Amino acid sequence: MEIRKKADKNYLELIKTLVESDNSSIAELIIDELEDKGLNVEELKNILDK
Amino acid sequence: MDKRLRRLTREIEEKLTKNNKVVPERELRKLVLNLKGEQYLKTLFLATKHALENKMLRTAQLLSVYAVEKFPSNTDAMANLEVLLGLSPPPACVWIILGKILPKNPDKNLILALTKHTRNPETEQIIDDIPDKIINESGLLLSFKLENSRKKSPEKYTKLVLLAQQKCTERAFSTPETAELIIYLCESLLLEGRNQEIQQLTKQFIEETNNLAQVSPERLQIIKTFKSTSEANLGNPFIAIKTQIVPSLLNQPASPTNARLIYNIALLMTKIDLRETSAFLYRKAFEMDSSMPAPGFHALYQTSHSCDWEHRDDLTAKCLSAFSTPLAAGKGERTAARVIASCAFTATTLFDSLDLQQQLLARSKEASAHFPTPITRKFDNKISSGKLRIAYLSSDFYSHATAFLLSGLFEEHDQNKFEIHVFSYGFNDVNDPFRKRIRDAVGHRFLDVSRWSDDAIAASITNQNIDIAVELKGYTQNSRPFLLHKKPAPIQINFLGFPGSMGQSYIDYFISDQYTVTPDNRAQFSEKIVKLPIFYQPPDSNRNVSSQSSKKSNNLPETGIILGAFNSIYKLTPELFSFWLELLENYNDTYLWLLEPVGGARRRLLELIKSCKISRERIIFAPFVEQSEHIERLKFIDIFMDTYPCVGHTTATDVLFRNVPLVTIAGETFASRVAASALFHIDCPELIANSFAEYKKIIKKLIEYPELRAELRAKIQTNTKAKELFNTKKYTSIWEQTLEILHNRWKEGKQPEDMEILR
Repeated sequence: MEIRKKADKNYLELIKTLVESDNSSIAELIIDELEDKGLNVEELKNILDK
Repeated sequence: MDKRLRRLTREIEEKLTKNNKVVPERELRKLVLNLKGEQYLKTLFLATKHALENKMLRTAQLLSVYAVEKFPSNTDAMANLEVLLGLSPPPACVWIILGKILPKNPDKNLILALTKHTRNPETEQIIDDIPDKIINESGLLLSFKLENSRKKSPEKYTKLVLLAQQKCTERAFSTPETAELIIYLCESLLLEGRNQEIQQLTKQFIEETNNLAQVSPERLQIIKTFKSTSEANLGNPFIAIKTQIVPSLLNQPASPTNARLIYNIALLMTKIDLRETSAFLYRKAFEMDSSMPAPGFHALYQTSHSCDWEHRDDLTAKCLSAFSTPLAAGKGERTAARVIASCAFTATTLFDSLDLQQQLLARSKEASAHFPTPITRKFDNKISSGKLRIAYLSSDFYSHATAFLLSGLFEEHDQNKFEIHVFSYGFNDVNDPFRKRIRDAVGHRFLDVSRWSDDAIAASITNQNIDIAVELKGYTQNSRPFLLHKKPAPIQINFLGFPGSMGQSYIDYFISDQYTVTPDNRAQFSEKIVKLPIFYQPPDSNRNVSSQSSKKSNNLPETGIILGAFNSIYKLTPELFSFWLELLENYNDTYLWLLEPVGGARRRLLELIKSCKISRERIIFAPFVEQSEHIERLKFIDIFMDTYPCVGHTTATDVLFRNVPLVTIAGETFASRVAASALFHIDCPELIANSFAEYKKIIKKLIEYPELRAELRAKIQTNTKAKELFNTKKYTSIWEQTLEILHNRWKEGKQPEDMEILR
């Protein structure tokens, strides 16, 4: 099973800021990009889905 | 309205058409005749209205300024003038009257209207004529004075910056005026890299102002942008994004202000290495305001990094169109310097176009209008130590191409004849092996100036009486291209980092060789050209090569032809990649060995490979390894396929160091001729193609004839030695001889000129 590194805490804060300011589409772009880079983005996706 | 008034208004317009510098006094007098008081003013108003309705704007402006001159306390007259001056730059004779009015009555709104034409020399003169006492009592006037003095009088400018900072801290002016002053101050401070001061000013203003609502949203946004830019420059890009973000960013109405906002956020996304997100935002900003070339060029660069070629042609066309328009219109000139720094690298590396280089030069010159004319220090025997003092400036003194090339040169420099200073302004790892090599070679004169402002670095160069400053970054990432604008060293050189002209009058020389600068591309340089008698890149003959590598450890097949392509991924184009895949399809025993792409680039390239039905095993990705291992593994390449328009620079010499046949296209610009130049200097013209068709032909021939590959490998090995391509000692001695020649010219009071250095 592939183990992916979690995204940095800074990204977590950034995604929160973007979602809270009605910028979820930018948050989505970032999450896709981090996923492309091989990071575990589950936690970030959870913020988006809240 | 009577016929007489209409006739006289027309006559005034005719006079202005013939000569707009002279006030048509006779006609104006005739217009008002013996009228007095209210009647006099009413007639002027009527004539102004008539002029405006009949599209005689210059006459309307003249009549309205005349009304203010005669009735300075009439608010209607002043209001008319404010509106009319805001519409277009007025004729010269209006400036003459304004010159009499403004020093006595520096009406703020009127000055605001004039700022629309602030680069006009007449406005500057009017502001200069207003006494300091009045200036210092108005935030607005102080802003203009600051702007004027930056160019004309650096000493006065320094004092005014201090005064303005003090006034802002004390909140000496109204909130809107303070906002205006902060914007002017930050623009200047940012160009000088004074990020901490920007942060202090903007933070205090945003957090401590009770009545921020008095500031227009547009101006407040600009202040927030400065705050966020300084945060990012000080190493806090995530905080910077938080400062800058606004609700529903992508739903903001299209406007230049919002385009700028989205652009700034894109810049911050680039800083945190989110290429795809930033590319999307750059494109969005560019769509919103296509007259702003910087977001377009950034989008092009970032999408190239991601191998996202979907919008490439459209973006390219729009970028070229935006770049062909002069930048220095109105207030644009103040930001021109920043714009040029944003576009130059992409314009130079992603295009092989002399026309674009010519435009780049023109835009750079517009940007340089921002700076005061530099004064070159005269030679003074008293401060000469007998040794030449050389300063090298860069942010790349770590495991980076620049340090790979320069480490050997620093070690070989003759310390008895040269005093070497290194100004390192990058946030680098102090334990990095290349940084350590350079620091060990230079000793205590290796200065970490990463937290210093541009001015502080320049002052240090002046104080240490540096004879020659070598600018190693130009317009590349994390550069400080305007650091040397005050000419702190009498001789300033653009060398190695940026493969083109900086277009700035404060840079005297550009270092090249016999092949890279040609009679055709010479005109694209503002600097005087110095042609070295060898390949212009310094070699490092002491480089470490690991000996532990094998084909197996590199995931390469034991048999088959390895086609290597190790240039940076952004240099790849769809045409090239499609040709490389075509080779794999046509030659069964070939393998493509590429530097491992990451993120979206990897996904996109794998999709393309899949669509060609080529076995995935035939494309091997080379992971990032440290330099010695990288150099070692290059020997497994049978044919190195260069990229175009941006050809290999350091990578080209790396593969030649391992005796690998390198096939390249010789373009027209300097940047597109570097790899060919390396081949030219080792007498291997058979590997230089003059077109894409020829490039394909050479590569196919090398695949088909193994004996030719072996022959070329042997030839490269022999010639790199015979022609001293990797002889650091030899290179350093030629380099030192060059520095002495340049220094002697200056000592003798001679101006810089093009020159060829002889062996």
